[in-house]
Parts: sequence; structure tokens; C-alpha cells
Amino acid sequence: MAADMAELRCPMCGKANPEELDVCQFCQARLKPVLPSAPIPEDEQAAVEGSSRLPEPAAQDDSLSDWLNFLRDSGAESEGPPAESGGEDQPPPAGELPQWLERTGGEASEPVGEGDSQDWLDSLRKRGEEITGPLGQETVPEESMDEDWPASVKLPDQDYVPEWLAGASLGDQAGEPLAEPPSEEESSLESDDEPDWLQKIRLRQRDETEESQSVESAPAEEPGMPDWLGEPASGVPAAPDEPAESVSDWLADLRSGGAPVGEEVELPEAPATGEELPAAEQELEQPLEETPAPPPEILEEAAAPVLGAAEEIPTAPQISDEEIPDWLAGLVAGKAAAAAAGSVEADAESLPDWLADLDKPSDADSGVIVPFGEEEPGLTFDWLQEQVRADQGLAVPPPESSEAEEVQAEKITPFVGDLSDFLEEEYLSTPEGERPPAAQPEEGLTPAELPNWLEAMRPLDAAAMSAAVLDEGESQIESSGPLAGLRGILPAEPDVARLKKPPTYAMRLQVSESQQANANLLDELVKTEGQPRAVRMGAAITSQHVWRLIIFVVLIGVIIWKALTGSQEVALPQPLPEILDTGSVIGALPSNSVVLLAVDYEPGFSGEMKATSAAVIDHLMLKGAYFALVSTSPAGVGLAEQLIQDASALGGHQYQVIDRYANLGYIPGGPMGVVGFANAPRKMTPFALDVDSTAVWSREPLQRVTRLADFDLVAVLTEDADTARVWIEQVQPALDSTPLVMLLSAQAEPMVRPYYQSSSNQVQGMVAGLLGGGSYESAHQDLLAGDGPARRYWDAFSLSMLAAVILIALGGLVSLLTQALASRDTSEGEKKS
Amino acid sequence: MNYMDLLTSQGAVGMAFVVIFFFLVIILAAAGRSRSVQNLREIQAFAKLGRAIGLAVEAGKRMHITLGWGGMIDLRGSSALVGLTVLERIARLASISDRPPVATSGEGVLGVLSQDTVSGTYKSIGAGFQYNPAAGRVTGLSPLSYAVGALPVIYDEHVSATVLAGHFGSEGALITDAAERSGSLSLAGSDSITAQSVFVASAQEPLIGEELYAAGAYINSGLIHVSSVRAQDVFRWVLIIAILVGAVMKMLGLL
Amino acid sequence: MKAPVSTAIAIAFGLIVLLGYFIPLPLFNALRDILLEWAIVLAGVAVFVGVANLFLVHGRKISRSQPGSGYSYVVIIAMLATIIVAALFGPTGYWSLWLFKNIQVPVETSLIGVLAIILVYAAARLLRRKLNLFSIIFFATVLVVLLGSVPLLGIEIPGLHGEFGLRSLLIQLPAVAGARGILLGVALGALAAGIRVLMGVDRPYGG
Repeated sequence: MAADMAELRCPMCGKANPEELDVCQFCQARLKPVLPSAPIPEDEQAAVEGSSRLPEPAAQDDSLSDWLNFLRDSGAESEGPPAESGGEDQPPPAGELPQWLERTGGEASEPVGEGDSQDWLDSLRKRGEEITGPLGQETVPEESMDEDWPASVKLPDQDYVPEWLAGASLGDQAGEPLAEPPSEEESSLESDDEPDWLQKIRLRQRDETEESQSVESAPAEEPGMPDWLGEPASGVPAAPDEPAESVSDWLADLRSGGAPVGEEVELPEAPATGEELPAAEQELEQPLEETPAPPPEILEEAAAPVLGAAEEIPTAPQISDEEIPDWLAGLVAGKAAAAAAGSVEADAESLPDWLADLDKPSDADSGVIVPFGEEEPGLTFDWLQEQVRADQGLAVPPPESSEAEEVQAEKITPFVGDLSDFLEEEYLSTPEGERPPAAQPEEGLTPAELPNWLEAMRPLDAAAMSAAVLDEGESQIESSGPLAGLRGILPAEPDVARLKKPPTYAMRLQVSESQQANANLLDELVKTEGQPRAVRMGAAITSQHVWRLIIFVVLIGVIIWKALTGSQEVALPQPLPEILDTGSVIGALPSNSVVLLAVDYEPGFSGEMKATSAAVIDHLMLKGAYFALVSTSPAGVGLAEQLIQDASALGGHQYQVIDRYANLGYIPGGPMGVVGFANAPRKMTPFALDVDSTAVWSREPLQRVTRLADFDLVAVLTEDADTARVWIEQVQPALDSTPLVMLLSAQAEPMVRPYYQSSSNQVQGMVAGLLGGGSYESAHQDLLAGDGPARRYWDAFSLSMLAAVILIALGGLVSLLTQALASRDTSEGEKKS
Repeated sequence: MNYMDLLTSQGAVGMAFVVIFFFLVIILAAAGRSRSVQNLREIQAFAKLGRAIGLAVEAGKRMHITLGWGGMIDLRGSSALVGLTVLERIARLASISDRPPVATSGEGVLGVLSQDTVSGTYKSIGAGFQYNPAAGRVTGLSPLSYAVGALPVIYDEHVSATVLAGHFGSEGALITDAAERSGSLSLAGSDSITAQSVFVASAQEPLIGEELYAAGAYINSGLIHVSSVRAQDVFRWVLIIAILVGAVMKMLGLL
Repeated sequence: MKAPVSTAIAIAFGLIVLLGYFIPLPLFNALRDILLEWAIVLAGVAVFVGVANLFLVHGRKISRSQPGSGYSYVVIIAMLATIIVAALFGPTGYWSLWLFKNIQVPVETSLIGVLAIILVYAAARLLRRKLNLFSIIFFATVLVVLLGSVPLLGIEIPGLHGEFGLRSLLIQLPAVAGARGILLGVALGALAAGIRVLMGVDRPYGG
């Protein structure tokens, strides 16, 4: 005890501090009330041990009652309060109130009647004037509060009745209304009488209508001070007699259900969540808006011990599920809700207003605001709130339900052994619809002025109503902690550190429609890129194939037909001038002339070239010419050899190599080779391509040939106009008077004709194509016995040429018709559209 | 030496012709350097060629350039040079294709030169490792065998476009017909009249006359190519005027 | 060989040959003749280079088993057989000529026949492929020339056939004139190509 007296336990954080300190060295909360007040008895210190959530009395506020001071001071004691305060917690003798409760008020309680609630409220208010320090000066972190929450609270004996409840019960038994607010001594918690504040509440309730002016003036005396605390004019309203017996019963049940005397009960830590609490407590943690008003029975039962139930006042400890009396469990289940509603109505008339208003849903019950010190909904001060509002003539705000749910799990009972627990249960068990409506403020009542600390204790809805008078800086309402519901509280931690639900950001990317369209397009492209496309196989037979087949069949059919029939019905063409000139040139050659024959056509044109040159070669053979065969293409060597042999065989000539002709071979270098041959034929082709590689230049008749001009005739056989031009342009200057005759394919004739027709007369004769060959055969009927290759090919050639012309014309006509039809369809489609 | 005879000889006239043409090319190249855009007559064939190169690269197909069978030692070599220029340009543009371009020819010298051109192009762009000797191949030593030898390249090697640039004969129709059968683009140009007449009927994009010799200018082979084309135009007008004047003089008996 | 050296050699030899053609000086003529002889020899060697290239291409195709490698077998076998026969019997020997006459000539002649069908088909589809004034004129000219080439069923149509017929006129006047103009343009183009080689702009020999 002496040790406890040397240290003060902080009411906020519960830590021990030296006595000489006025402010807690841990949380800077006031340890001693600002106003001079009676020292808190030791027996009350133990009773309020662990109530570290008690608001620190304002340093300048003297409106706190002694009992509150006692409660705070008892919280500063060390942990062995049960030993020190054992005397306090020792159950007082029967019929006597606990000391701590007696100190709250000495007047006996009286049955509560109308206006009695006002009396004890007034008494409380006056006591509050004596208590310094507004509430909510500093919010002790919940953690520290939780940590310092007394691990063990010594429960009183079964017969133990808290003094505050004992004082009230005595007052009730006395049946006297609460007297004037007792003096400091009378209101001391060490008084054995009924707590003054209760008496005053009763008196106030009774004189509510009579003292409306005093209620209005009450705020002038102590701003912000609730009437029930600042003006304990009336005593604590007494509980009705009828409920007293039942109250006693439940109190007795509570005691019986409670722990044995002296047994330390491990109180749980400050309930952080509702799961840790007993079922009864959990129900009490309902949001404010859901907190039902305690039924009248509970109110009566609550009032009974308050007003004077002598013997049995429960301490209302943390009761486990197994310890909950049946009646309490039934109340929790809402069994008596309907009965309570009826009984409320029946007893409403007899109950004081404050009790009658208890079953009405209060703003705090359903409101957003969480009352001070309690994260559990529906605690005691609802009825006080209503009364205050009624006094102040303020409308009851509609219940709010938002924040109450958040703080449900963290509600903390402000007082150990709070009488309001059973009130909460009853109220919560009552369905919301059956709860009596909130009390409307009465007209003509002056709103009470609450002290700051009490103002902070007001429910949030009440605080919201007075938000107009609040500064903007005080608009923020504390939602958790012992200062929940209070405004203008400096946050213990910066906003950024507060635990709150992190903002959720929309995961949807903000894109415009065009961007989305482009993204979709890109997505389709990427998807299709990996998808194998079926290769569309074309038709096996297309129009190309059909056309080609038709052309082939027609042409080959005509040729085969004529070849098989061997018809020669088509007359050969009349000789052309170039044909005649060629014949003249050859006719003018001397016998045993030496003719240079340049075979420069490709093997593929050998058929045409054979037909073109057969008559000319035969004519030269008839003249006894000696052929010197050369070629500027590698294949010309074989072609030249074959040409002579075929012509010899065809014309019946016996042309043997070396004797009648010499194959001088291939002249490389193209035009340069021709120029070189023209300049030095012996040098370019020194040997013949026979097996012996005979040096024909040393033999007759080539022995006399030293240059191209020594040849009697130069005949060039080619299908290529460029080759012909090379021979003409490169060789002809070196020929002097030697004639140059061109034996050409039909495709080269146009390019060579100018050389023939020019005045320079670079080409003396020209036979071109099958037409030229046929014309030459026609002009020289004696050649090849009139049956040269041109004659044989002429019929097939002419008929196939006609067929080709017809096919080409037909194809062109079909193309034109197709184009016309397509354009007409297109134009019609455009017209329709 | 009679310098007057020398100056009045045909050789001197020809030499002057060449020298004037040479300086005209240089002058026009210097004047055209300041131009940002070279205004040339639009030739649709070259426009499609550029697009065909891009499509071939995108489709992962091959470009086929066939250079004909004209040797480098005669007049046919000029068209072969143009073909090699086209080959170099296509090889440069289509080097990133999965299937690099391939060149076929019908003459040994052209085969070697085509390999050399492709190799040099890849080296110049730092892709020497991409060079494959099969990029330049001789498919035949005669015109027809060469044309027939080029057909498997068109049918079997995923050719998307065939460019005929060189000396051809009528056998060029075999190549263009194969290109049409395979559904690929055929762009054909030759210095041969016969080949041009065949290409007009069988090729999708024929190059008439000396349009083949303007290929270098249209495929951005360099400023000299553009200036040489302009010089050709100048000299063409000179020749036209000379022919007309000569014809008139001949008619008047002055010549 | 380095590109600058190759370019220098090409330019030098080209100028020599060019000057030799235009300036009738003995020195230039002699150099020209020498260089032309070298060119002729190299052109002959180029045939062997072409044969070697052909052999390597088809050999690579066989070794990699590419599609169509069966034909490559035929090419190589035929090439080797021809070389052997010609080496044994000479280029104008009986069997050489037999191969030439019975294989090469028929094959190439057949190809020309296929070419004829291709050209007829191309002419028939000319108007479908591109329909414009030029193609219509071309189409009509083809028909006239073909019709005037041979008498129709032995009948020569006056005005179409003959020396002064339409065909002769078309061939001798517009065709030849146009061909001459084209040749002039080709000659200018060839000149430009040669100038570019002499300037070192076009370097087909670049390694």
C-alpha cells in the first residue's frame, strides 16, 4: 500500500510513475487532476485498476467527480493491486456498499422516477466540475493501452457490491430522491452513503421539468459539462421497487457465476476483436446502430442495483460464455425483447425518463460515432446522450452504421465492472425494429454545456450535431482508441502511417477506342502469324493448260496430218528479189570455187535452217564449190558437218571431208574472233577438225586463200540477227569484192534486209526462212529434184500457220469479250451500288 | 602521219563521240548532285521490281535474276553489265531474305562475274558469311539449254520474281512462261529485238527498247547511272536531228 | 585481287582498245590486237569455266539430295559421256556426230516446237493480260505478218502477199525502222555502260 502510494499509475497507459509527477513520463497524460480534489481512496484505486482507458481528467476541469478521480488514481497503482487494494476489493459487509462506490455519493438512492435521471446527471455534472482535465487530452496508443491492460483483476467476492452500485442501491432503498449535489466530501468515494451522483441523477430526473432553466444555465457554469455530471441537483434516480427484487436476483446470479473471492481472474487483454471476447461481450460489440436499446427489464434491473440494491452489485467482470447466467443469455438471444417492449411500455410511465430512454435507440447506437472508451457498441452513455440531447433540445440524429462496424472488434469497456454491460446486452438483443425510438428533445430545455473532456466523450452523432460550432480543424473524428468519437484529436501517428485499407487502383488500363482497335489488330496479326495457313492448292487443270493443249493438238495435228499424207497441194511462193539475187550470185561463181560457210545457228533451228539452206547448198554443190566451214558457236561445228552431209546425201553429191570440204572448227571470241578470222584466217583456224587434223591451209584449194577476200563467196547461216550483223559489219569490210550471202531464219530477216536493200549493198543475197527456201526451190526446180525440204514442209507449214493465226485471233476475241463482260458487270455493280 | 586525215577519219568521229559522251555524263552528274529528286520518266516495271523485292523478303522467297547468254567481249556484254548491276542491287536489298537471290547465266564468264558480284555485295554489307557459290550458276552453254536449265530454279526454289536482264533470244519465252506458270512476277529486258518482241507478248513487265539500260538509274545504283541516262537522252536527240538532217540532205541531193 | 588494282587494269585496257579502234596508230593497233587475242583466248577458256561451273552446280545438287537431283545425274552423265566420246573420236567423229545428231538436235528442236506453242498461247492471251492501244496494234501486226507469210491454202491474197503486200510493207517500214531506232538506243546504252566501266563506276569484276 505504501508502495502504491509512492507511485501513480497512469490512467492512460497504465504505467507506473513516481508520485511526484503530474504528467506521465511515458505518454504525457495527466496523472493528477488539475483541480484540487479529494485524493482517490485506496480502495477505489484497486477497483479501477487496469482501467487505463479512463480518460485523463482535464487539468483545468474540475467537473470530474471524485469517483472518476479515484478510478484514475487507482489505475496508477502497481500490479499488485489486488494485494494493496485487497481491502478495497474485499467484499464489504452485507448491506454496505463498497468503499469506492460509497465515495461516489453519500445520499441514498431513491426509486427512479421521472426527472430522477436529471438529478443524478446533475450531480455527476457538478462532480465533473471539480475534476480537472478535459477528456481526450492525449490518446494513449491502443497498443500501450492493450499492453498495460491489467492482466489480472481481482474479482470481488460474490457478495461484493461495488460502492457505486451500493451507493445507488442504498439510495434506492431509501426511496428518497437524490439530494443536492454533495460536497466534495460527500461525493467522496470513501463515503458509505449512496453515491451522490446517482442520487443527483434521480433528483435531476425528477426536477427535469422544473429546473429547465437550471439546465440551460448549467453550461454557463461549466462549458461543455453535461448536466448530469455538472449539476447533481437531483439525486440518483432510484430504481423501481419491483425490478429491485429481480435485479437482486440477477445480481446474485452474476455473483454466483463470477469467480470466487480473492481469486484472480485473468482478464483477457483488451479485446482487439470480437472473437476473443465472450459471447456476451461479442454481442455487445455490435455496431452502434445495431445496438438495441436495453429492454426495460434490464433497465430496471440495472437501475435496481444503481438505486439501491444493497447486497448484490455485480462487478461485471469479463464473463466467459460458461459464466453467463441464463437470464443474461436469454437477454442476449432477444427472448425478452418483445416482452421488454411491452414491459417497457407498461413501465415506461413509472420509469424515469433516463431509464425510459434507455430502450430507445440512441444515436450512438446506430450512429457512426463510437463513444469514448468503448469500441463495443451500445454502452452506457446512450441514455445519457439522449438525456443530454433532450435537455439541449437537439434532434436526435438518425443512426449511422458505418464506422461502428469497424470499431466493433476494438471496443473497450471504459470501466471495469461496468454496469452498462448488461444494459448493452439487453439493448443489443433487442431487434432494431423493436427498439424504442430515440428520445426527442423536449422543448424549452436549454442544451447543457459539457466540459471539454465530457464533450469528447459524447457520441459521434452528438458531436456531429455540434459540428457547426466546431472548427474545421476539429472536424476529424477519432474512430478508434480510447478517444474514439472525439474531435480535434491530434493524430498519434501521421496519416500515412495509419492503418487503413490501401486504396485500390483500377487494374483496367485506360486506353482509347482507337488504341484498343489497334491493339486488337496487332493481337490478331500476332495470333495469325503463328497459325499455319492452309496452302490453297490451285486446280490441277486450269485455263492455261486447256489453251496450251488445244494449241498443241491443233498444230501438231495439222502437221502430222500433212506429214502423213505427204500432200503438196499448196504452191510454193513466187521468188522474191533477194532469192533471185542469191541465185545469181551463186550462178556466177566459177567452178571449184572456195566458199566460206559460216554455220552460226543453234541446233534447235536446224530444222528451219535446213529447209532454208538446203537448196542453196545443193546449188553450191552443183557448182563444185569447196566448203570451208567455220562457226562462232561451239555447236556450229557439228551443225556444219551435219549440214554438208545431209545436203550431200539429199542431192546425191559425194562430198567427203578434206576432199570437198574442210571443217575449220570453232572461232572463239564472238565478234573479236570474226574480226581476227577476217584479218588472219589461217591464224585463227590453222587446222581442220578431221581425225588427222589436216593442215588444210597448205592443201588445195585453201592453199591460195590467205585472207577472206580470197574466198569466192561468204555465206553466213544464222538464226540470230546480231550474229548476222556482226558478220556483216566485221567481215564485209574485209571482203572487198567477195559477195556475202545471208541464209537466215525468218526471225532475223527484218534486221538483215536493210543491209541487203541499202545502197551500200553490203549483202548481195538473202534467203530467209522457209518462205525463202521454198522460194529458192521454186526458182530452181532442178535443184534437189524439186523435192527439197522446203517443198515437203510447205503444206504443213502453211496450214499450221493458218491454224496459229486462227487460234491467236480466237484467243484475242475471247479476251476482248471477257474484258467487255467484266467491265459491264463492274459498271452494273457500280450503278446498283 | 597525216593528222588531218586522222582527225577526219571515222575513228576520230567515233572517238569524239565517246569523249563528248564521257564529259557530258560527268557534267550532268555534277549538276544532278544538287537535286534532291531525280525526275525520271516513270517505268512501271521498275516500280513493280522494287515491290517484288520487298514481297520476296517478306514471304521468305527468292529473287531470280537471269543474265542471258551474251558474253562480255561483244556488244551483248553491255546488256550483261546492266544485268550484273541489277543483280548487285537486288542482292543488296534482298540479302536479309531467308532465301537469297540466285543468278543464272548461259555463259561461263557471266557465271563467274555473277558469283563475284554477289560475293562482293555481301562483303560490302558485312554479310560475307551469307555468300553461297550456288548464288551464281551456269545453267547451260547454249541458249536453249541455258533457258531450260533455268526452269528448275523457277519451279523448285520458291522464286517469287524473275528478272531477265541480258542478251536473250526467242528462248526467253520459255523462262517467262515458267514464271507465269509458277505465279511469279516476270520482268524482262534485252538488247535483242527478237527477245523484246517475245517479251512483249509473254512477260508481265517488258522493257522496250533501251529501257533496260536505264535500270541502274531506276534502282538507285548511283548518280552516274542517272546522268548517263540523261546523256543518252541528249545524244538520242542529237542522232534524231542528225538523221533528219541527213535525210533532208539526201533528198535534196546534197549528200 | 584488290578492287583498286582490278579497276586500274580494266580502265587501262579499255582505253587502249578504244583508242586502238579510233586512232589508227600502229602502236595502238598492235596493243589492241594483242589484247584482243588475249580476250579471245580467255573467251575460249570461259567455255571450260562454264562447263566446270555447270558440273559443280549439279554435283552440289546431287550431294545435298535436293529436289530434282535425278536430272542432275543425267546432266553429269551425259556431259561426261560426250566429253569422253568427243575426246576419243573427235568433235566431228562418227559417234560424236551421232550423239549430236540424235540427241542434242532433237532435244533442242523439240524445245523450239514447245516455244512455238508458248508463243502462240502468249499471243492469244495478250489482250487478256493487257488491253491498250499498243497491245492491240501489236496483236494486229502479228496477225497480218503471219497471214502474209504463207499463201492461205495456196492462195496469195493481193495486197497482203507479195513484194508490195501489206506484210512486206510492215516488215520493211515500221518494223525495220523501229528496230533501227531500238538498235540506236541500244548502242547508246551500250556506250553508256562501257563509259561507266571505263570510269570505274560499274565494276563487275569487284571481288
